[in-house]
Amino acid sequence: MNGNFSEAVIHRILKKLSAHGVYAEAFAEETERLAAVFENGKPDRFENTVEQGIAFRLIDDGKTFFGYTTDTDEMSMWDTAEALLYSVKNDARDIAFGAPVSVKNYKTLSRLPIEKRIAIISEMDRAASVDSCIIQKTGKYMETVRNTRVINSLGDDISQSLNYVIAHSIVTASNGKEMQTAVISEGGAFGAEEAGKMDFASIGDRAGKLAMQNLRAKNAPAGMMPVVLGSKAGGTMVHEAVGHGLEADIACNGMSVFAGRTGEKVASELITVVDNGTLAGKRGSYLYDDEGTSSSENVLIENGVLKSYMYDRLYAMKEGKKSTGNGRRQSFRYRPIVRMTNTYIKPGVTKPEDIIASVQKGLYVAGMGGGQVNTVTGDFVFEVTEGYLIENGKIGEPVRNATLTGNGPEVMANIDMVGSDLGFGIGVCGKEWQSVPITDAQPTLRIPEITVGGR
Amino acid sequence: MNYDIKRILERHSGFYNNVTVTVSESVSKSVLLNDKIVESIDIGSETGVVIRAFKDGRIVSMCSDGLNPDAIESFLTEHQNVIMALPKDVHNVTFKPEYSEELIQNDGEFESLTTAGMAEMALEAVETARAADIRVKSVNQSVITAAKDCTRIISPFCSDLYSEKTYYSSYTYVVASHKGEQEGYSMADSTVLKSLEHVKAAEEAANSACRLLGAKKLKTGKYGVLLNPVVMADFLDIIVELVNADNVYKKISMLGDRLGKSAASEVFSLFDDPKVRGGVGTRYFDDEGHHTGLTPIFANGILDSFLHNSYTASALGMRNTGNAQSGSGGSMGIGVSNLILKASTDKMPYDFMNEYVKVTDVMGMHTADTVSGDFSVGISGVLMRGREVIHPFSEAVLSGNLKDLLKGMVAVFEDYRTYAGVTSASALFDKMTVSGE
Repeated sequence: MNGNFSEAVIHRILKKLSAHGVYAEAFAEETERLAAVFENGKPDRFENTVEQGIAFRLIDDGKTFFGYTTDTDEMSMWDTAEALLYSVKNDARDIAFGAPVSVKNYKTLSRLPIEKRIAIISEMDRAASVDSCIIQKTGKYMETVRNTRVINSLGDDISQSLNYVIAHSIVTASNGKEMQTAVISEGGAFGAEEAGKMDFASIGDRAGKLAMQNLRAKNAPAGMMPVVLGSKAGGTMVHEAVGHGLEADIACNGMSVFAGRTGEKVASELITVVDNGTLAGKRGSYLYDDEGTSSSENVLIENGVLKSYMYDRLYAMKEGKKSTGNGRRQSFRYRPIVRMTNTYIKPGVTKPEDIIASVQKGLYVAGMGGGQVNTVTGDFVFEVTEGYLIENGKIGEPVRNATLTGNGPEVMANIDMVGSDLGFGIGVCGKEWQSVPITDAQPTLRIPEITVGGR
Repeated sequence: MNYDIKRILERHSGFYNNVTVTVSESVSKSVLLNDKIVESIDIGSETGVVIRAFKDGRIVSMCSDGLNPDAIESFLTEHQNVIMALPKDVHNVTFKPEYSEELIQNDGEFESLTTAGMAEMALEAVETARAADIRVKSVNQSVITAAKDCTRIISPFCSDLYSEKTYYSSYTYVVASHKGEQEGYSMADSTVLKSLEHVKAAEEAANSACRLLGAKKLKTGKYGVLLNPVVMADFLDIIVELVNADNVYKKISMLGDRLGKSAASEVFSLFDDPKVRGGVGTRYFDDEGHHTGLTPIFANGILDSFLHNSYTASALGMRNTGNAQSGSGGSMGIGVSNLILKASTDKMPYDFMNEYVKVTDVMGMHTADTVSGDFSVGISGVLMRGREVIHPFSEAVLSGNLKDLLKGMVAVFEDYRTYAGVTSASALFDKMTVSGE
């Protein structure tokens, strides 16, 4: 990405900023989102969003000075940069800017014509009509192209183009007395070739069937009970119960139950947790993070022992560590902070069916929705979007409206069976008013006892 | 610039029935302290446009950063074919903004407020939180934010609509420690700098964290439930979805057939008032440019009105309440301005119930299902008997249905708290399921 700004101006600004701190950076972005929405029984609308602007950041003595503007003319950029400085000095530090690097995560950009987008959302809509009880359907298909460029006082100049494709179907079923809604989303960080393999009818079909299943289901029982988390449920639990507490900005500020516990046993020996931003096609992946650090595979917990936190540049500087490539921002409007990418528990050796067979009476979780964690106490909660009773070692009738709540370290220590499978879920993670795309995953897991909130 | 945009819209008025362009300009600054140390200073300056073009019951829209007349011209030209690919919908009314008085809610303090001054305010909050209780271990975040926003709706068919507002807010995050650790946070906001209650909010954050120290698990069972004003505000946010006319039109609101009928306890009265003087949500026109006015939503439990934009008003044959709110990509949704919950009593909770759980924090509110009304959220707070605190609790789950919640409301108290345009108060509910150990 070149942007419509002068590279020479950026270089001059960075030289000036870097004289006032240990690190200076410019982050330019042009992101375009094109969405087609099927609603109210028709192709309802196209949603077009363009985000573009530039941000400057100066780090000095652990303090961050950050400014952004949507106006990339020379005067606006200088105004923004100079406002970062307590007192503007005329000196400048020389920076040896390296050769520009340019990367992308796709071969062919996915940017379908209007007719094709309408065909996709119409296909999802038709497939969602699985029963006459279906009363409302929304299908959305969105393509995003995020072009960014990081130039910093270390001499880096990295342009990255990321293509994201996502489709989701929201279906509501009603029996005249009650209503149930189901949401199925699929997508990733990839281009036209992979997007062309997506099964859009399946997305609508599964949403319709799940809405009908939940409409007919009983409410989940409440109280403490054994729970098996199936691999296809995705990894909301590891994301909430463990992941956030291992972000360095939280852990190094004493706001995490995992703070100061590197090298200690914090989970069952069966548990190895990894955050990996390099997985091709996964929604949390990228080649470089939003600070120009290359993504990597980071082992956070290995066989139950806490090995490392996730770092961005700021917390790497503060703690004398190397950035793990987890510095992300929602857009140029935000400072980068430590964020997860694709976070998962590594598979074990037990067959998933043996895990289910080991539970006489409990809950089987086949789908997880949103969640939240209190990182200080480790308490977490997440919703079960698809659940079944386990009776005599077999998956039984479906139940709805279950929520799981527990304490991260306690639950991680109590997991006593880990399956040989692995299933990913996609989502958006919110932290400090910023949202970024992620995935999370886990094998089938058995938790001997956890609080189920039901009715 | 505005003149240039108007000329572009006039040029395209031959093809489109109408085009509106909403131009926004804003500047912001914030200071973050980690305990007594300045950790970051952020400033921002942005412009943006939302374009909405109408043609024979069809709409195309775009939301874009920057203020570039050429981009508006390109969008309108390129979308002459695109718009015809959409089917006609008679409820996509070619809405033409009506003249409205300018809203100037600017206290004149934004420009003179320096980041050094904001750092002093943030420090004041840190020192207040630390002094509030010796168990406060750290004040990890004390943030003061200031912003000035200007919005102008431009259409070829009427004079521009204009509003200008200042906004100030504070956020304090505290960790307390004594035989375990707990977090607490609190926020305050105002359109007038001098009225910002950042010190009071900091004290609340400290109390919130300390109150939960030594929390135990609750026994699973049925409890009377008192939601504090912050938690009640979270519930009001999802209750509003039940009266969102878009959901009513789609037949996914459980209150869709309750207009003019009892839909809640008699103690529940809720209204939306866009003309509160100095209110954070105050607006004289909505995002479509329609006049705004007071909308009673619930009056003593009777569902008085849904909240509408021009589409839902046409589709349902009801009065447009002026609650249009821009959504993603220039789409038009529905939102509240200043939402106000009315107290039902001047008594105290213990006058109504001897034992109940007082909920001071909720987790996973975003997982509540506004279609089925089912919710199952993590809660923490204190178990109360009369005026006495029995013990704090955490790791509990409150489950129920919004319909039952509305019917089970026993009283709304007078401890008002306003944040983000929502004026809420503590509310007491009849027995609900709480899952614990």
